[in-house]
Amino acid sequence: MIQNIRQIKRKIRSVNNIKKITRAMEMVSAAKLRKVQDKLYAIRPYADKMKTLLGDLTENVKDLNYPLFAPRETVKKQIFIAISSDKGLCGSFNANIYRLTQRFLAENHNTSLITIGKKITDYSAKQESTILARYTYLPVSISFNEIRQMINPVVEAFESGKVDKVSILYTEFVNAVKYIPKIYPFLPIQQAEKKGPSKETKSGYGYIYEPGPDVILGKLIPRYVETAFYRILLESMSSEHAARMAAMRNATDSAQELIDTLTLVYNKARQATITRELIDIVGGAEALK
Amino acid sequence: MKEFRLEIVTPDKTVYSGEVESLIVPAYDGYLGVMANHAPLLCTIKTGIVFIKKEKTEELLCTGGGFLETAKNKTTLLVDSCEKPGEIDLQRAQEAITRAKDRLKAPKPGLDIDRAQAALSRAMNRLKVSGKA
Repeated sequence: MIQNIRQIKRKIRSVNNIKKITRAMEMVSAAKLRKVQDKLYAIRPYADKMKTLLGDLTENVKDLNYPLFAPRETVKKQIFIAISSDKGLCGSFNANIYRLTQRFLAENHNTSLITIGKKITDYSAKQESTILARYTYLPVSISFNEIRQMINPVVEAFESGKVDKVSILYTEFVNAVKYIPKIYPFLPIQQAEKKGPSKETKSGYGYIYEPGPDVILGKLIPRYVETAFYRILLESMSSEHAARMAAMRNATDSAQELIDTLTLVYNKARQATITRELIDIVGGAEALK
Repeated sequence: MKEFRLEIVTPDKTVYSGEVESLIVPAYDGYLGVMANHAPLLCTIKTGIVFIKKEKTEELLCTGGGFLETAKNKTTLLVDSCEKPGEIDLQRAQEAITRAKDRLKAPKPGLDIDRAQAALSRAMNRLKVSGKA
């Protein structure tokens, strides 16, 4: 019985240590989340503005003939970019990415995979999928130069017609408790929906272009593609930290629950031994009479 | 004087957001002025200085390349970077100048000349703006 009590005590101590670790990890994730989230909130207005700018421009340029905009009639070959995290312990964050990647690959044959993040890279290697390129341990403050190096081959493959469609699977960050895995049609670039009545007034003004619309478009598009991609990376990183934070909070709560139950069991066992000893003593005293 | 809305947005933050009277930007072929009720315009921006005028005060900003859109009395500047003179890191700019100059003087094979030149002009521009303030 004494041994049993000791075992319970040891268990409580070890669960307590786990609790400390998960709580620390939760706080680390919270700090990291704040950092990435600041960056994400900074780039969102820039990315949104760029999208409206592109929308205004494409709306006003007649006979838009730029390969990145043209949807292909038949999609023969496509690229699928899946973004996961580098580290685990973040709940269903990576599991969702695995599942959606598997489903996409099963539905779309002739798909080449590009993996970003160690988790999805390892997973795809195990599944023996064809991986075109893999990137792991991307820094939070990734420069536009590095982004350019990552996506230029993809854009070139699309422009030259080797690939007809590029989609990105990432996790969109809504807020610290909500993040949704999403498949985003990256290329061809989705044109903004044609606005009905407002278009009349807009084209009535007539934009002045300095230099010509073609030149501006040529400069704007690469910038747009880079910004969109960077934003997606930040969305995914923010979601990862939010997911880890939630997972670690759950772990801390469960540990506390376990400690509570164990403490109850411990106290009961302790009391039982005391009672038994008392009965022994009383019994012994009785026998002496 | 009539005012119009100006927003300067970079990938790092929204640098400026407010009503201004006039704006001068380094456009595609020379500096370009924008005042209230400007015709709708879309143009590219080069590295240079942005002048913002409001109620007789003038503000200088150091800008990187990007785009300008103005329509319906609202002007948006989308640029790679944009700094107030006080925010410029002089030492970093100096270092960037020497580095870029060294690279251009003794070009190694595989050197991106456009990039080095762009870096040089960006750094020189930063020095210029902080000197003016």
